[in-house]
Amino acid sequence: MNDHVTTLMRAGAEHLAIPRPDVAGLVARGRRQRARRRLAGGIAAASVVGLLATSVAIVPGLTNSGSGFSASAANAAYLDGGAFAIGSTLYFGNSDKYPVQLDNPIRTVGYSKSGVVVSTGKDQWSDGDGPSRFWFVSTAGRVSLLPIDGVRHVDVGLDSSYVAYVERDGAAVIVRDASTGAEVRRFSGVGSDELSIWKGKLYFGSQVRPKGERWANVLVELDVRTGDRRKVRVNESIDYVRAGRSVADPLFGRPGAVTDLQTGKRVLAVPDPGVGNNGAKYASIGLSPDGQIAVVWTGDQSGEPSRGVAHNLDTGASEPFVAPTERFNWTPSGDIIYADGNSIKVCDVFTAECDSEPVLRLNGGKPVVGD
Amino acid sequence: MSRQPVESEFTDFVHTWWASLYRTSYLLVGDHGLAEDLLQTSLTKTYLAWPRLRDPAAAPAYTKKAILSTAASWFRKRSWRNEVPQDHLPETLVRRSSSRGDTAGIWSAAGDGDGPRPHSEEIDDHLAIVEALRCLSPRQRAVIVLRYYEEMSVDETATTLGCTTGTIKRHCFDGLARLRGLLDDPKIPDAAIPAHHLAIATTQGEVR
Repeated sequence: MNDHVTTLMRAGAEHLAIPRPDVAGLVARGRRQRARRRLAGGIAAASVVGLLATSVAIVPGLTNSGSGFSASAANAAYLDGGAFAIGSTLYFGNSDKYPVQLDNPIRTVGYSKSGVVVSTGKDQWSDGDGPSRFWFVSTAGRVSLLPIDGVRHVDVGLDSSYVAYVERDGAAVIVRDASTGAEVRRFSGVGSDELSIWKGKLYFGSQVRPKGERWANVLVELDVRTGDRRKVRVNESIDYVRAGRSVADPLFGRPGAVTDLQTGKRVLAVPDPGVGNNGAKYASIGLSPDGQIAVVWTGDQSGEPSRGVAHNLDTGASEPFVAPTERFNWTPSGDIIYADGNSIKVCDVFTAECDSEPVLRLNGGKPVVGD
Repeated sequence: MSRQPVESEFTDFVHTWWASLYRTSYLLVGDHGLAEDLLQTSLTKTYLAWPRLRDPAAAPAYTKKAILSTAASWFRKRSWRNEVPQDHLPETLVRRSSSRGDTAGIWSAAGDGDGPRPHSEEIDDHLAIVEALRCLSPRQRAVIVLRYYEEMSVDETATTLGCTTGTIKRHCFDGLARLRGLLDDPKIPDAAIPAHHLAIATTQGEVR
């Protein structure tokens, strides 16, 4: 008898008039929310984490206290290749030689000058179940718990040891020295939906927005050392800020841009993506952690893969982006790091040439030790 | 930075699954505008979660879950606890003759001869159940949709909507009774509902 109701409902549902999806609008809405919810502008290898199985096994016999962990060598490897995480193991540099074991799955990895700030939790998802705990992991393998509890947004200074975060209630923005945990500066009553720290300056979004959902084109810049603050106004909307540069993703009817906040100079202009045979196109801008490289992606609603163009914002050079994968992340120096089915590799963003040896070999999503 | 490259995957996913997900959304909320809003909200959550979906094949299930949890949060709001305001609520939806004289497959609200009203329009036979669902309270509708369209168990429905199994059974009983009357369809069953469940629900004050 219950089958009768099910049959009726299925037949009825099949006869519903279905509107067409506004995919470009969905993508634009998603981008805006992602910009607001970004946990760490300097997240390093979080997507590499996400690409791999959550249950990647702890690497046997390799811990931060293991022999052969050379601090200077690990530091050099980190500066060259960054860091990435699989499960609860953090790896420095473009090799598997410098693993550091943490107590729980690693959710995010933020690059700083002298090590990384990682968050851990019950699972590996940055917005997963339960709270996150934040740790500073030096390239010497020292792991220290940071007194950060309940945060809304976090950013780690690539060019400093600062970690900045907005408290969960939005009451204050706090800057700490990640290497010591000491509080360096506290700004109260500011609130923020976006946060970025770069060259000793903290940028956060104004809570005032224009009508609709777009961000206001005003940021507040705070000098961490002196406490001075000023408003920074750019000509475009602000979707996110990284490395002292604001990014306005292009939308149908709106060109995009990257603007240097300290000079006010527009370092990249991207035209309105316009309309193609399959409706409104969309485009987006991905910025490297140091803000020097931008990859502009353009797609339409056909479902075909997006096309990417890599721009060197310092020289103005640009090349078609021909990475072997669409899912990648950045190293601190502007290379890309990605996982394929068998390994983790580091490749040049302009030439797509990869290191001769993969960073780490994988077997069934698990690291292969040795070899 | 993985969000840009995966947009093509997301776009493909939306095109493939939009209709199916829209149907679930519409049945849950009974309004095209709200259904679109519900689905867009849920797909935005999927977009945000996309880089950490281990397998893109998991995206439909993830979005379905987002639809249900978002709808459940809407239902918890006071404004959703009552029926959707309508000018008239029909007692039954009955077949009526079309202008062409045939009687098959044409439904209308009974007693609608006094003038135009929202549900007096001719309705495709298959859509009668959809129209009848709109006459239920939001919670009754959600329970019926989850139990019979999504084929969830009572326990799963209770967990999804955040209430007791007794409340689910009561809404199911009331909803099916209302549908049976509206559609004049004796094949629609009585939902077995033990008396003690009603008592428990009532004493806990959870019947809304």
